[in-house]
Amino acid sequence: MLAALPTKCGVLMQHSTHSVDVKATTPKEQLLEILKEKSVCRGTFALASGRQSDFYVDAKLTTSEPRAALLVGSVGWELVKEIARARNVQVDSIGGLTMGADWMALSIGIAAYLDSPSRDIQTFSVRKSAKKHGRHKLIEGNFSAGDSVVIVDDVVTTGGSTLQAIDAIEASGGNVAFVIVLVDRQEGGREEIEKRGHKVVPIFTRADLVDRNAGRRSHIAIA
Amino acid sequence: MPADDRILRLLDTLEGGLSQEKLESLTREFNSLAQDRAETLVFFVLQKVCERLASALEGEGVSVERFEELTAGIADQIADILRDLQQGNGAIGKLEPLVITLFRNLGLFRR
Repeated sequence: MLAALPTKCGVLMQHSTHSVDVKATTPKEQLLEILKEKSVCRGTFALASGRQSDFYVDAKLTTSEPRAALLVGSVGWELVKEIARARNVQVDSIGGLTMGADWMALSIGIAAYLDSPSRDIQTFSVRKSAKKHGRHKLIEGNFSAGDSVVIVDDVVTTGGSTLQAIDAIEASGGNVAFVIVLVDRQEGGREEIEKRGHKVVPIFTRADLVDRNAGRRSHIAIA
Repeated sequence: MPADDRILRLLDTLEGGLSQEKLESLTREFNSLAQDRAETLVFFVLQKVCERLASALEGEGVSVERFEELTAGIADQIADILRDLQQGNGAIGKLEPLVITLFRNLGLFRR
């Protein structure tokens, strides 16, 4: 059921008030349907980067929904395995900048555990600024220097939040194996991250969310 | 980097208008300056103003109109304070109007 709801920002957004009636078949198709239904908002928005857009993706409405979280986990974990195999890299832990990455990382971590408990894939969260007291930690959760990590993010626009997480991991002695984003808004962020030498693989792009049929055709290329 | 170069960089940052990402970056730099420079109170207040605004913008689909309401006057007032500091003038008197602007923009002003 769709409803036009006034939001804090005073914009009418179209998003669902009930569970999404998912008719898609594969987990990726199901996830795309939920994303389109719950997270795609139309209006004129100021993005975190300061740019303006007629299209806003509130991915947290999807990543925080239990059924969608299961799908993010299974789709994300299959992607992690596929890319790790193709690039011949090890993965010790998965995480990113709070809070866009948090639900996504944990969902993928749980899917990894269910699939293969012996792999012992851990998850972590990067704070936007170091804790002001105590141990001044910037990275919370299960990360150790020397770990090979997958950085995740829910939406990439300029790449700023993803790069902030990458910087924190590298400054703490970790190695970034590759990056997975739920939605690439196709506004240059992916290229900015790749300029730094990190492979970025989106699960979906803006084109998938705008074109109702594109998701079924979307193909993720692994270099 | 000498402190005045840091202020020049902040003024450059403010010239292009504000955004959530810029406010987060300004918050970090003001926090650092509050600990490095003599004008602790001024930088502490600037840090808090940027932090509050960044937090108001975080994780929301903020309409352009609301964004303009939230940020109106803030960049200019911060730049004015920074220019005063650069010239060696005290800027404490300009902190209250800045905080009033912040509260008004956030809709918190009750007076």
